Amino acid sequence: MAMPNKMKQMIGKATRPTRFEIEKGQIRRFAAAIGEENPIHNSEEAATAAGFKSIVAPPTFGAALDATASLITELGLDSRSTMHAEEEYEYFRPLVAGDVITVVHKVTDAYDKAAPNGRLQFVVVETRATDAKSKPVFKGRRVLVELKR
Amino acid sequence: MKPLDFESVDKGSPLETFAVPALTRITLARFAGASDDYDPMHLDDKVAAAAGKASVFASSHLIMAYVGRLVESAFEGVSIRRYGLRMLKLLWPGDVMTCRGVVVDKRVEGGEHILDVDVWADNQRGETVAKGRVLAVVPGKKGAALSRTSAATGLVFPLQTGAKGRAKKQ
Repeated sequence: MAMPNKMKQMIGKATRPTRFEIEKGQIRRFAAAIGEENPIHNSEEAATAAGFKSIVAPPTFGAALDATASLITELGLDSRSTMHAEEEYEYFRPLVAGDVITVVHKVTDAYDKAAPNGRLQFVVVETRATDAKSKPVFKGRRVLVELKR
Repeated sequence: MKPLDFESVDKGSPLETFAVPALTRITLARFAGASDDYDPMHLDDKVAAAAGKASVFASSHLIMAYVGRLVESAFEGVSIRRYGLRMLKLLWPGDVMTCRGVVVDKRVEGGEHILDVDVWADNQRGETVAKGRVLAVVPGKKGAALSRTSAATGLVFPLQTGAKGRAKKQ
């Protein structure tokens, strides 16, 4: 079965850059939500004593910031049946409160595979996050999969 | 198990396992709010059911965050440079996930002490929920801090100092 043309056309498509202000409160709430008690994630004192400018974000905070729901809709996938199959990140520098980052997502691949009860539609999205000086903060690659019955 | 350092680990060294408290809908809501992700599959049982799921379930980002805690707490000061995870099973309310890891390589590159760590998590039914790999930079010696360059690069969790040592994991 041929891949829907709509998917093929998605390859190369990028979202508009989105700016995020990294806030102390959000970092604190994120750390609390995942049960992370390391004081560098919620105490300004502990973070600066450890050499950071301010409170530090835990793993996946940056990536989690940019809700993929809108990305999924933009790609024409059904968010109710689309999942993250895998994600990988490369981190360039610590993300701290006060940072302003810009995030862009780009579709780099799309393919499908037969499945027992339909077809699995895969979309590969690459993410780039840069800081106010356009330096890289993190980059990611995620594989979204939708089961089309 | 004491936190690991470059000197004490070898290929095959296990990380201390990290058990995540049973998943609740409150946690799902807190995580959704903290990450501004209001995907109804993680929040609204009716929507999840209409989509053919038994109930709401955890987002992949929450699972990655939990496995990230494993690595953060396993080492005395660490800079995570690369982190990848493949999702294999969904995590449902009531599920208890245990995060595990093992060092698969250690080397010195560009003056940095690098560890490749296989990480994975399973649930109380013994199913693997997710698995992947972390590339971490750690201090060269026990009790040392990351070098300045290392501490300025990557996702950094410095050596925790304090009279009582590490905070007790929940």
